[in-house]
Amino acid sequence: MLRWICEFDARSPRDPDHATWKVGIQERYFRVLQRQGHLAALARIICVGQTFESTLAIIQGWGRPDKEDCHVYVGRPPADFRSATIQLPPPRDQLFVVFVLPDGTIDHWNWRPRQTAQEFVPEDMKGDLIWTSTA
Amino acid sequence: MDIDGVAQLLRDNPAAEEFRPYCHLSPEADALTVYFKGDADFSKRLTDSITLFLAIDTHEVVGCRIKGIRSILDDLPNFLRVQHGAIDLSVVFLSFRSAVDGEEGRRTLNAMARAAQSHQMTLEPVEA
Repeated sequence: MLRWICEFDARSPRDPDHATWKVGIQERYFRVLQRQGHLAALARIICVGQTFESTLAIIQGWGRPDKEDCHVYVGRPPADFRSATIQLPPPRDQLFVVFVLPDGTIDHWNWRPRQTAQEFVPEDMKGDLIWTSTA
Repeated sequence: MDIDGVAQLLRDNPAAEEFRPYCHLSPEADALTVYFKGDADFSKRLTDSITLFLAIDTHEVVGCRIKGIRSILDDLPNFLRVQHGAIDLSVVFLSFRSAVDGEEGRRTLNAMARAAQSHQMTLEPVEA
């Protein structure tokens, strides 16, 4: 496992209602964001944590070969962050998505419009919806 | 780590004051993430291989994520002159043009290739 600079407890995809597993952000990626001055991406790590605290849905697979064991965690954090000190309401009709590799490494995070038909599912997600908070 | 812990992490590790364009290759995800601007953004899928990052306030394209990048990168050095092991990022964008349907998609890729060229962005080999 590569070194993580921060880690979170997330619902386990194997047993979302009863078990958790550790997920985290690689220090190497964090340092890229820090060095390049990507304030919004860094500050949104707060949204990442909130998404794991209040997960709305888990999607298995990233919709491409060899990524069936990856997951997408979906949330709706109460705020968006432009920097660590600037917070705004979340984008309208959007969900926060966190992409997680099979070893628990968090690979990417961002807002994405939600589907109109399924409240907890982002647009253009091609994996399998394996869990929702209302199930 | 709880939210207070994240906030403390951000305070202890302040970001550079000025945004600089970058690309980040994730071998584990087989994906390349590129940002030209640091605006707060959201994602929108362009094709199965390319997701665009659009500024929340203006919907301007500020970056993208290219998936399934490994096969492209493996092939490129066979056709390009590669300096110091780095690949011109604009060429990576142009190599995807044929996989994009529609004029809008092609225009978007062209714009990203131009942006990569104007910022002289290159893709460096990933250290093991």
